[in-house]
Amino acid sequence: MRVLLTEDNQGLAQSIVQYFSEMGHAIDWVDSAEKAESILAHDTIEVLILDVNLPGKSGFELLTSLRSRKNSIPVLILTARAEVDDRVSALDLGADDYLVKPFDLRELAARCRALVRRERGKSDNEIHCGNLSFNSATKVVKVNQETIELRPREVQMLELFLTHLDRMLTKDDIANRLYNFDEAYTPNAVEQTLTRLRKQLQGSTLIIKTVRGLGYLAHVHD
Amino acid sequence: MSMIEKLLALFSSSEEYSLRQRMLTRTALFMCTVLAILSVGVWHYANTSADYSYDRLLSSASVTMLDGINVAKNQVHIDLPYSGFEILQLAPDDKIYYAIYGPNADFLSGYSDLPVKLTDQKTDLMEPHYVLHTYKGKKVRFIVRQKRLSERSVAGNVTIILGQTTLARDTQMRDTLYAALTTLMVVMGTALLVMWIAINRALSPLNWLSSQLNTQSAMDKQNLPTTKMLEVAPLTQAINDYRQQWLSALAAMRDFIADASHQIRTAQATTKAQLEIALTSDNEQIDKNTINEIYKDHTKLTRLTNQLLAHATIVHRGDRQTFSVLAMQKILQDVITQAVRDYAHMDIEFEYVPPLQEVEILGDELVLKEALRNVIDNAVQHGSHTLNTSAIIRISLHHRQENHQVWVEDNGPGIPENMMNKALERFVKVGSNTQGSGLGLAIAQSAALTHRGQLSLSKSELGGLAVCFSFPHITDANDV
Amino acid sequence: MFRIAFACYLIFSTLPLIAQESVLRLYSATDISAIRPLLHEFETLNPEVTILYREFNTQELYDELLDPTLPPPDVVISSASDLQVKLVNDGFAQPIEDVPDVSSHQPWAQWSNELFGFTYEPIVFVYNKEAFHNRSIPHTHEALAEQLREQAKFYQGRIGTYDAASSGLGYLVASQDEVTFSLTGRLQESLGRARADIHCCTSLLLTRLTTGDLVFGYNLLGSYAMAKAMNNEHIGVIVPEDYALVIVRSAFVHRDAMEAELAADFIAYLRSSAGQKTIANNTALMPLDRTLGSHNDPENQLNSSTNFHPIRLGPELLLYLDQHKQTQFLNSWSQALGD
Repeated sequence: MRVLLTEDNQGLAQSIVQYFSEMGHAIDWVDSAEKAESILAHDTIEVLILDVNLPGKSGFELLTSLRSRKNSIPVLILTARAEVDDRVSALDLGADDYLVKPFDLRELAARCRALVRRERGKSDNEIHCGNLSFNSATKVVKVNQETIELRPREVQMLELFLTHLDRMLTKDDIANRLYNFDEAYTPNAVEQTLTRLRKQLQGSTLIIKTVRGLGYLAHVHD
Repeated sequence: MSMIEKLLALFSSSEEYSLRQRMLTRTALFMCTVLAILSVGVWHYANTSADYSYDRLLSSASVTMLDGINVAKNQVHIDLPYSGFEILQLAPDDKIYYAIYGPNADFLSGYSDLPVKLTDQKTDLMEPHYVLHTYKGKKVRFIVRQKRLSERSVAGNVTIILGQTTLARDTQMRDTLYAALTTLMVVMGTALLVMWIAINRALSPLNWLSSQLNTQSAMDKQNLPTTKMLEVAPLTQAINDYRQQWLSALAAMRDFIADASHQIRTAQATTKAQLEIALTSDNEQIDKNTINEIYKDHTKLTRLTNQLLAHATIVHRGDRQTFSVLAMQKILQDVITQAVRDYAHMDIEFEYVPPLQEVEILGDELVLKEALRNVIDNAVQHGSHTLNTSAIIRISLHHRQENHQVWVEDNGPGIPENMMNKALERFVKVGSNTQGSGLGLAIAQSAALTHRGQLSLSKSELGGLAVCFSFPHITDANDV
Repeated sequence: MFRIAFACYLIFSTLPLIAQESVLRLYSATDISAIRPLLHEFETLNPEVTILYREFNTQELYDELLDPTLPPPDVVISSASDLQVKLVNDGFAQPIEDVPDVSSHQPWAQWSNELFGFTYEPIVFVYNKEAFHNRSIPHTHEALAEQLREQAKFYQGRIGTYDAASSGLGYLVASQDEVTFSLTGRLQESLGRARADIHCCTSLLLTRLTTGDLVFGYNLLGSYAMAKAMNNEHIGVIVPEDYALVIVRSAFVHRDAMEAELAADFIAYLRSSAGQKTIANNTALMPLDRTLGSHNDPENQLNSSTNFHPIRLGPELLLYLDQHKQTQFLNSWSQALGD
């Protein structure tokens, strides 16, 4: 994972750089939007961590100019502003995620990984979620490098969850994906498939939560 | 650039202005307009009435004079009566001109050079008509009247043209006009004076109020003296209420700052002490446990700061300008999804009970989400998640007759009923868990209040605490 | 019918005219001898003014103004009120301000702010004292009419009056007689039967009365008659007791006056108390201010209880100037007087 950190607070930046380096991620740090722009122009960066309050050009301005140039690099915004509106405008301007200072470094790393994962999943066949990997071409599922045998419906369900991480899926959403129009299914069928899938995935970092009355949500806890 | 445009510009300018002056000027302008309109009317009336009276003189004099025109010895015989001229004596200073024409428009007597044309003798037989001409350098009002002679020898119309200068007529017209105008002016002047007095009287309470306010300090707890003026009483009442609100808000702020200082400084003191101990320790290797303690305390401090800021934000976003119509189901789903994601690693079961029909309220989305999140966080903090049983958090939305309700329930130990009121106060921690800041419920209550709703606590059927937000229906919210 | 017209230039001041001097041109139907003291006094009050006075017969004055042969006057004075009114009515006058009122009870002595009366001259009977020795003198119109009938021989050819046809004043008096007195027609007939002698001017009539050619003068101008009677014991003056017409001599400023301001001053002077006193004490005329009386009226007949009928200055005087009315009146007048 190649990360570019744009942050003008030296202390915070150094901590983040140290944490990410120890995690084995390549991270570059610049303290202004202008410098970030020049790096983005030449190097391949997988995720951009962007502080809003920067000397000179603000983080929002950089984000806006990136998006206007059709640059789709995942961007995670850091904001310290008290106004909650900042979050909304960040997302409106095309940020992929945001964190409000102060935050846990662990949380920051996890969010970055999720962004990279989502981006890679679009191009690669291989999806990595913590200790779980899934190849969408061969439909091979591995937990801790060990292949796990899954039924086709379970694979379909897993793929659905992996492509919709951290999002609420209703029972209907899942059923529509798992069954054709003409296939009759009982409401319990989805539940049963999920129970089996959970059992198979025990020990993985993928958690599938059931929210009664609302649906299901998959989350990678790493 | 006309005068009127300048005046209009004066009125529409955004500069400071005097209410008294503006009212007076506008009234005066209005009255001048009325006066101008009335003056035209009066002028017309004066003219008409003067014409009417003096035309009658001309008319009767001409009739009398025509009486003196007869046929004698087969020709027109003119013997003008003295009375005809005497009638015109009623306008004593005016000059008289006349001409008499026979049946064939032949000049018989009088002035042969009058500027009046003889009308067609066949039409205008009996109806006299009046014309105004200038003759010998004077304005002269003429009457043209005819009389039919129908003797065998002389048949046809004799015409008399009788003119009189307009001195008396003009004088009467002027007198009428001036009398009417004087009356009008006096009435208008009186009206303006009354207006001026009335405006001064009406504005005097303002002076009284400002003098009252000037003598008091803004922080004065004393109310303004009561007034007997019914119209002013609501204003003093409003000022008193406003001041009381300010004072209580100030007091609340003072308490808040004291509380917040206490909380933050205590937490800071803790971490600072721990850090000092760690630094002064003889051990070169810092004890991991100490760091852990420091981290935990710092996390608490962070959370406290966040909540304090959130609380302050909610309280100050209380103005309704940012309110919009919100679909509560969508908001709840967002909040729950967020919570489920954030607490995915914990053994917590979330439940959502949707309403039977759509629920919409008028509110501030961000404030609501913040408040709901805080209540959910509170439930997570205080919920029961031991090894054996998983914690349950149930969020339900209800469409009730009188209001909308959002319930957040948990199966934790809950709060004893006698402590429930206390739990809504800031920084009050109830129960065994000391992780909370004591602000979560206070934030939720502030949010509920800014939405003109309520927050109430009760015991949940799940066993733990039930927090209920109630919001008014949109129509009710608008009414208030 | 004969006319006497005399025009005379009278320059009171023989000094050469200096630049600042102004000339006030008066055209007047008044005996110069009767008005001279007034002119003198005005010249004394206004030393820089020279008065140019031209005397006319009333009718001549009227004709001259209608069809001028001379330069326009500044002030026009005449006792023929009807002609004056006609001139003013036809725009020959100009309005003037600040002319004093002689008395507030005499609105008839002024027309508008153009024509101003300044004398009060009754129409009187004049008789030859010798002729009426031991005879009763008629003091009313009715008495005269009766005497003319009863003593026709006495009056035959020896009674004189104005010529209404040639004298403006005569026409005015005759026509106003008709308006005022219902028996005028009868009186005229009687005069005609008595072969009354008609003349254009008061002075001629008075001369003939003094000489005894005439014994009675009917409708003579009281001012001249009284002035004459003061110096002549042959004639006596009677102000008729039933009614007496009063002629108001009037003046106006001519439209084309060269010295309009001076002209206005002159008229104001005529009506001022100084002017009125001069009229009362020094002239043959009689002042409009009746409290002053006249030095020519020792018997104070002017303030007797006689029914005075001042001829009002006003547009109604135009009536007898109407062409038809005039013709008819003169026709009947001539017929009655058998001329």
